[in-house]
Amino acid sequence: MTKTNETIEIDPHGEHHGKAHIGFLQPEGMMTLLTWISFFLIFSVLYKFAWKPILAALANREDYIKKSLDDADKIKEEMESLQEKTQKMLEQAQAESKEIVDKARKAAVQAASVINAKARDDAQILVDNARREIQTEVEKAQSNLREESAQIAVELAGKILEENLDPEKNRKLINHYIKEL
Amino acid sequence: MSQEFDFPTYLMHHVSNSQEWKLPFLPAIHLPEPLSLHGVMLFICCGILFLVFCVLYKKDDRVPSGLTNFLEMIVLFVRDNVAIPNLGKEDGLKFTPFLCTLFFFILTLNLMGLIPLFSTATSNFSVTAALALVTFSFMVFGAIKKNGLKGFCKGLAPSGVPGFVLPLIVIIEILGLFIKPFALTVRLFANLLAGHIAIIAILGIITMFGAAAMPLLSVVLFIYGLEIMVAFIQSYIFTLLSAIFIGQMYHPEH
Repeated sequence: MTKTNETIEIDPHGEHHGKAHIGFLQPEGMMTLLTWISFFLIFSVLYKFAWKPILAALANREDYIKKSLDDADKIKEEMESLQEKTQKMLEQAQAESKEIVDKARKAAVQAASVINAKARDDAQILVDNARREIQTEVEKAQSNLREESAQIAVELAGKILEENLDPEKNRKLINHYIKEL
Repeated sequence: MSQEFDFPTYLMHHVSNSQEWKLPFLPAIHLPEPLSLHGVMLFICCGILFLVFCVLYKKDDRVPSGLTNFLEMIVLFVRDNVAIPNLGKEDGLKFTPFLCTLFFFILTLNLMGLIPLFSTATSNFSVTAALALVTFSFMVFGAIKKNGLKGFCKGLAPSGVPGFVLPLIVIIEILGLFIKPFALTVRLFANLLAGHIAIIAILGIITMFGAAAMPLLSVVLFIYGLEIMVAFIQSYIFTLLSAIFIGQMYHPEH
């Protein structure tokens, strides 16, 4: 075993092999070379089979997410404008329907008043006609009555004349006929 | 082994690189010359990363879940919180694969060190130096390629500085250019090494003093938990600082 105060050198197996003294701060050319070889080996392999596809996939996914979010925003905006449009259309339709209803109501009221007036006129005519008819009927009845009463009076007078009786008898007779009447 | 148990030697051996991979109940595997224990760890780490990202990671999922979700979160974090803020949108996206690899490579090596049988390659000075040198090469050659040699030199001599301070600033900037990757190297390697030394040292106390020292096991578990945190934090810091240093050289005006 060799050991100095300055550096720690190890010779664990004594004379087994020539390059046994390894101070661990001592550069080893072979190790450096091996490191480079292994590093660039794995770098080139990973670059081709891992980093390139992985980074491309990551970038693609980022783009996809960004695009999706943008699309979502756009759709949201469209939805909002659409909603606004429908709201406006709804309001317009409401106003229109209100107008139509108002117009119809006004027309109906007008029509009703016209019909009313016409009905009143018709009724008036009917009433007038009826009144006139009644008048004529009454007049006719009156004239009939007058004629008939005259007739009766004539007949009664004839009968009285035929009997030619005393006043007592006359009275009796008249009463009798009146009762008969 | 000698008669007396030389614990410091054993400890240093435990955290150092070696040619042998010791397995329990089995003869140690002797690794052939270009490889070493930490070298094997590097390649196992590559295998794990390949398995995780090319086999287990479900790339076709529209809505990821489980492991895929967790990994994706980290990749997104590296892209949006490490790469883009420090390097700008364009360069940030270009550097994301590199920074992701750096992060997961270091993280896997760190976490492997916490699994028994494996060893911590990131507690090896040469490994962290090699990784820092990759960052350094981007800081220098990447910046020269992007801004031109003139722009690179201009970045070292910021405008609006009075003439007599300029040489000093240039010297400091050039020194800084080398100190930054060196700091990266030492930070990662020292943090990982220190944690492991702490754990093995306390375990050493237990082996030396026997059952009386058993309560120290709770301290070991605590440090182990801390080590898991350090594994994540150090890989994050290495990645973040790499991004910041490269960003500083790419956009010297900031």
